Order: sequence, then structure tokens, then C-alpha cells
Amino acid sequence: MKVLIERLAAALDTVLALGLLAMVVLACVNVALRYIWSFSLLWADEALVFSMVAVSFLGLIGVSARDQHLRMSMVLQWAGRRATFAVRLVEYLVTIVVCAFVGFQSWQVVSRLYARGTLSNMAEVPLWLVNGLVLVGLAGMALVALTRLVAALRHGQEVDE
Amino acid sequence: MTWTLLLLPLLLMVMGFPIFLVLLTAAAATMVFTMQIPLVALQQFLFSSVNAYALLALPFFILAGDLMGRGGIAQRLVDLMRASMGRVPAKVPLTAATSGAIFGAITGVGAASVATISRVMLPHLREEGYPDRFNAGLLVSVGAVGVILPPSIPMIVYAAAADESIPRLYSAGILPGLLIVGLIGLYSLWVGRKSQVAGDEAFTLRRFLAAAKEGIWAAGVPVVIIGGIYGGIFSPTEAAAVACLYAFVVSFAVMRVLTLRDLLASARTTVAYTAQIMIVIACAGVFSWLITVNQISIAMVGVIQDMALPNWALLLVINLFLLLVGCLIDPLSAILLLTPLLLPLITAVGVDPVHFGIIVTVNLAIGLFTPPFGINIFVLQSLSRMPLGTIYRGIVPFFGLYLFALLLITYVPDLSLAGVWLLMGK
Repeated sequence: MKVLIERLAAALDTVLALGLLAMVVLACVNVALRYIWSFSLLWADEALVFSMVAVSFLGLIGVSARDQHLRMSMVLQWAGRRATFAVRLVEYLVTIVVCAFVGFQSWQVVSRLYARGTLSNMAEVPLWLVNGLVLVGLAGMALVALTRLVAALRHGQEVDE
Repeated sequence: MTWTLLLLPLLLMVMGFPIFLVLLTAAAATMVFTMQIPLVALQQFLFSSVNAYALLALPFFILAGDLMGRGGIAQRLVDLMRASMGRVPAKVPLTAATSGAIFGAITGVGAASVATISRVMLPHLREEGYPDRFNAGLLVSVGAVGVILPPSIPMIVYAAAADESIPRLYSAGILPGLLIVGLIGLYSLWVGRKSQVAGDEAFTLRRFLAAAKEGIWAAGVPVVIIGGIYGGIFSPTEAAAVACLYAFVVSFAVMRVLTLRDLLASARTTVAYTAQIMIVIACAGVFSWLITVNQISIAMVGVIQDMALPNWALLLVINLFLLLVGCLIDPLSAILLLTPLLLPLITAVGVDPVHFGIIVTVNLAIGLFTPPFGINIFVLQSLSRMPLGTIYRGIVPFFGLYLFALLLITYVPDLSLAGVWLLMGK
């Protein structure tokens, strides 16, 4: 399961990386159009911001799978292996609960936006889709934490060790 | 409410939980246990905190910095700087300080400045033998100068909140910003001498010309960014995108160092950094909003009012208060929230609103690199994988420098107002 998630996360990261490069191209094209043909892609700014939101929240799945979240590790460095293991178990549990809880709130917003069929102002992107990125990111983090928790409980030790 | 907003995050942070989880858990617990507001606000603030055009500069500048690093542009720029400085001690940290301040000023996003300068300068600082503690303090603190030097986004927000003139605030920010850069430069010189990091060969025209020939394309990057923004050609975000394109074209087609595989690797790295940083920004947005709606800051202003202090003590207390707020809330929210509350207090004792704007901005700039939630710290940690303890320890002397500058700025109003008189004539 862990390997599968890591592979999926790596594939998703590649797609997001290509998306990021496309964002750079779009921003540059918009500048060029403005100066060369006095014409602007009005939807471009909104599309760029939504793409950044996608990179931010979908990228979290890879960050979680590789355990790259920013944290203050000072105190844990001094703690023993058992204490560290126990804290990590609590962390996985809190991640699952909090991400599931906030994800549920996110789901409510997304389903409401879906029912209304609201579109963004300029790019006319369905807003449920853009807001849904938060939901996918949170669900992905919860799933990664769940697999880590199960693995840690099964093997009785930190899975990454 | 106090335990969920103050004690719980502190406990989780000490336990080494990811920063986003610390903030999100505290926010969720506060909303569930102590407040009567719809919980869907959690999603809305998470989304709206990152759904901002100004933040686009962050991934673009991270990508530009990474491409410059991989493609050899950064190396050539540093070589050019070294060749032009000869035996000047501490020339690498001086280069980092100067370029960080310029970058911060032109992007207006302190975190983007830290991202770019760290990618480019950290390997050189390490190569020269500077300890990571110093490197960390230098990079996170110099990134904060960008919000003091014009064009500064927090100053625009202050101008709106205080009904002040933006050009007057910009003029007032120049000398204080330069003062801080100067102090960081002097400290870097002192560290350079103390660490006996040698300035290498003496300056020779031949060496300089050779480095200039090699670095002529590389020097185009700051020209594109600075010239583009100040020439009114593009916005800071667009400048970041153009810098990415320029860095790629020069490294790929002219220098022939970068490959398409490197480009994809660079983009993948940027995706990871962006996600790491943006989730902290998103969760900090929710946390910041909760501090605001729970009127914690307003209660603190009430306490200051009740103290009935003399002018100098009032300014001191307000500075301490702003420093504390800056550690917890993002600068823009803090300005919008506190300016209407503090301005009447401060103008009643004869402080110029423009001068006060600079005091507020410097205080909140300090918050960008001070624990627990200074965003510059997390950007550097994400890019360098330095232990947070090393970064915290490294910040201390730079925090001292900023405090010294803040005292000067607070008690010598002319330091800020001279810029207004010189540039605006009144």
C-alpha cells in the first residue's frame, strides 16, 4: 500500500510539475500578447491562481508520502526511540481525525457549490472543482497517515526506520 | 479559548507535529469547543488564504532560483561579484544581504526572496565555511527587509487603514530599510573577520573582465526582474515567470548546462516546496482569523490604554505588543486589525502617522522571521533541510540587529521622516 501511494504521489508530482511549467508559459505568453498585440487573456490570472491552488493542495499528497512536512523537530531529537514512536502514532491519529473533520467541512462546501453550479468570474471554472482541491489534498494526507499508522502498528516500529 | 489557541498549539509544536497540523488542530478545536460559528468557515479560510494572485510569485521565484542554481547562472553571478570585490572580507554574505534586500524589495514577498536567495547563496556560504547558524539567520532576516523597502505591500495596506499617502510611506521606508541592510552588512563583515574566511585573490581587471564575460548572460536575470518591474513592463508575479523563462533559455540554449530532464526535476522540486509552504500559509490564515474574531488583540490594546504611560514608555509597550502580534498573525491582517485601534492612541501623543506606519511595518517584518510562525523560517527549513533549532539559534543576533534598528527608528522620527522631506518636499 505504502509503495503504491508513493508511486501514485510521484506520478501526481510529475503531472503537477508539468502544470507548473505550463503556468510559467501562460504568464509569459500573457505578457507577450499584451505588448506585442495589445491583447490580454482575461482568464489567465484566474487560471494561474487556481493552478497554484492545485499545485499547493495536490502537492501535499507527495509531501505527506515522503514525510516532508515542515515541523519543529528539536525536542524529538532529544527524546528516546519509544517516546518518538509514541508521538508519531499520536501524530498519525491526529492527522487522520483533523484532516477527516476539515475534509468533511470541505465536502459540504464543495457539494453546495456543485449543486448551485457556480462558476468563477473570468475563467468560468466550476468553483466546486477548485474548492474540491482542498478536499482532495486533505483526503490524501489522511490516507497517507492511515497507511503509516497501520504499518506502524503492524510492525511495531516507525515504518521509515 | 486560551487553551485551544495558545496552549494546544504550543504543546503540539513541542511534540514535533507538522506546523500545518499544529495550526489546523488548534483552529478546529477552537471552533468546535469554544465558538458558535459555522464550521465550513474552516474550508473557506483554508482556500481563500492561498487563493491570492500575489502568492503566485512564490512558486515562480522558487522555480527561477532553482533553475539559476542548476543552470549555473547563480555560480556565474557569484563569480562576478567575487571578482569585483577582490579581498573584501565576507563578500559572499554581503552579496547575499544586498541581493536579498533588492529581491525582497522588488518582489514585495519576503518568503519568495528567502526562497530565491537561499537556493542561490546557501551553497556558496557553506562552501566559504560560514556556519549554518549564521547562514540561516542571515537569509531569513534579510528576506524581511523587502517589506520595509518600497514597493511594500504592507505599507499599501497601512496607507489604506490609516488614510495616509502611499508615496509618503514609501519615502519614509527607504532610510530605515537601508539602515537594517547596513547593520546586517556590518555584522556579516564582523563574522567574516572573526571566522577568518579569507577574501580570495586581489582585484585585477583581467580577472574581473573574464568573470564579466562569463557572467554577462547571468547578469541579465536581475536586469530582467528589476528593469521589468520598475520599468512598468510587468508585475512582480509576471517578472518571476519571465525570470524562469530567461533562466531556462540561457542555461539550456546559451550555456548548454541544463537539460530538459533537469527542467522537470526543477519543477518537481518546486511543486514540493510550494505545497510545503502553502499549507502553512493556508492554516496560518485560519489561525490568524480566529485570533482576530476572538478579539485577543483588541483586549491587549485595551490593557495598553489603561496603563496611562508617558510617551517613550507607550512607544516601547506598543513595540513589544506589535512584536508579539507579528509572531502570531500575518502582517496584512495585523495592520488591518490594529491600525484603527492604535493610531488614535499614538497620534494623541504627537507621533506622525507616517512615522508610526514605519514602526508598524518594521515590527511586523521582524515577525516574518521570528518563532513560532515566521514564514521565512519555514521557507528556509523547507529549502535547506536545516534543523529548526539551528535556524532559531541563528536568528538571535539578527533579531538583536533589528531590535536596535527598531529602537532607532522609534525614537529618532527624522530617520523615517527625512526621506519624506527629501523626496516629497514636506
